[in-house]
Amino acid sequence: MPSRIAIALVVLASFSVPAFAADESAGPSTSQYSLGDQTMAINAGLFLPLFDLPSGVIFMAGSPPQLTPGAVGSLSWAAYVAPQIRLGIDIAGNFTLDPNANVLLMLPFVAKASYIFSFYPFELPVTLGVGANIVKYTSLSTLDLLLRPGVGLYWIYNSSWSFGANLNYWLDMQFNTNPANTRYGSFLEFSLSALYHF
Amino acid sequence: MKPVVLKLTLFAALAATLGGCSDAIFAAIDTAQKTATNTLSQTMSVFDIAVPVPGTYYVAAGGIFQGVLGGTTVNWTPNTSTSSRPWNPTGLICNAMTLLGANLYGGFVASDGTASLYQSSPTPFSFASGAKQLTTQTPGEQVTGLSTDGTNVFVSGAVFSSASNSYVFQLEYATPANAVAGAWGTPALSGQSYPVLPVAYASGGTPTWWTASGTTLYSTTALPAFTGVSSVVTGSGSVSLGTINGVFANGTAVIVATKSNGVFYSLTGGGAGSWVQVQPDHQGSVTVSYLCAAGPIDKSGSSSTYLVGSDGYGYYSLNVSTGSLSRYGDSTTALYSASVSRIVLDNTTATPLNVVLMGTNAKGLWRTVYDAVGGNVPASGQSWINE
Repeated sequence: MPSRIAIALVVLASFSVPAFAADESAGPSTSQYSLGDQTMAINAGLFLPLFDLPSGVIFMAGSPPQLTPGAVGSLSWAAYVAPQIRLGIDIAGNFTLDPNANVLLMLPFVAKASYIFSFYPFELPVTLGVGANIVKYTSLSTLDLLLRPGVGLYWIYNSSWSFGANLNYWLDMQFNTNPANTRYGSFLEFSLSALYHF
Repeated sequence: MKPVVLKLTLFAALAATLGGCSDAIFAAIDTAQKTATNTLSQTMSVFDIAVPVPGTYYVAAGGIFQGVLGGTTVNWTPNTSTSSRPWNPTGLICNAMTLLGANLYGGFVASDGTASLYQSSPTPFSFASGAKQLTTQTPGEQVTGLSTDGTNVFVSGAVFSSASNSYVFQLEYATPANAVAGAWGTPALSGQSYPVLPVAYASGGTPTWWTASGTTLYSTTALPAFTGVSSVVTGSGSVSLGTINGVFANGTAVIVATKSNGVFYSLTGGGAGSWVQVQPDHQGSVTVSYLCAAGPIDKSGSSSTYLVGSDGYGYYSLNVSTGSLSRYGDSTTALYSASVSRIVLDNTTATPLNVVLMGTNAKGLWRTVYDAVGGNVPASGQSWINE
């Protein structure tokens, strides 16, 4: 464990080494964006159900699994409040299937904040989103609290377009008046993204 | 940009308060299981059920369905995945069925109303292949019920009477050989105004055959001479039976299910004074009507618990030690409000084959495991399955 901490500290420290800033061809670079710049992105990809707590059910375990891998798509908008900080909202939709091919549908509305690490021609946004998740399954429906941290990697194609991928963890907190039915569902999103700056 | 920040903060705060309104979706998904596709229609009406061997069931519900118990599930042929009817004669629907020896007997009706009687092939008990069409006692007789005493097959039939310009009802019987030969003899009962119920045979004590038509309870200790009564003598005196819906017998026990007067039973062959009337349950202003009976469930215990099917209120447990009826209480299942017209026990004490099947009107077939010692239905840890 101590070796892992040391490695993590080295990795984190490497982001703050001033020496990198002196070389524009590698390492962190100054963001080209400023207050008022905005982005819109369209994302689509794979949605993986992970596990459910406190029941401990692994969604994709078993034959057939409790939930199958599914698909996710989203639209997002953000605005720069600082050269490396974006605030925005994200509207998404995804589906997975249960053992009887019933659809589990999610429609989250997420407010998010991103810190953008720039390594020209790449950008690495680290994002935390909080929002409401409309979940529907057969005749059941619910409105859950959703936490969605994630990280992305984008290639800056030109001043307007960037292309990349996102990896987001979804923590859907589903509270119930019967505490025995309260669940915290974990999911993973891997999506490809096209980002437009304006 | 501050308003944007404020709006997003408020949005996040709103989201943070969520979670007070939630169905238990993930909890439901945690326990979701693949639904078997080889099931029966859950809205079918069951006319008869036969158990030729433990764990193998034949259900007459228009179509004939064969079920084979494997572990905790029954594989049905045919099932909801197909409209084929491999056990039926072509184009005929089955409205009555009984098992005698190595054959099933079935009453069938064609789309034009033509009625017929068939003897199935031996295993696998098919009426489509290897079956024999039998001649009924009266030409054109429609089979309304089939039953057996282990030796004879009894046909309850309807015959059109030109004299009264209406259907009259009769009962005839024959051994399998005579049935195949069409040698039914004179009907044991004829000219009845109401359908003759399937015969119940009490093999214990003095063997007695029981049946009913309308408000008359018929019995005989020597076929075919049935005598009828419309009332029975209980410890309180003579009590009118009213309309009789079903008669059941096992050993020396006889149970009569009535429309308005509850359940009558005798544990000693129906002698005068041996009858007990159990008053009907009332659901609001409605007097519960009873349709059928089976048992005893606790055959490895005190043999005092029987099951009684009701019309629209599921089933009841009849305790003949206390003379009481108690309704099955799980109101979350469709069985709770079903009309249970047939109850059959898979008669073996070897678990898990302590199976009880209940056929209903328009709510399908139900199955569970019963407790042969304590008489609990379902047994502890078991639940009703709508096949």
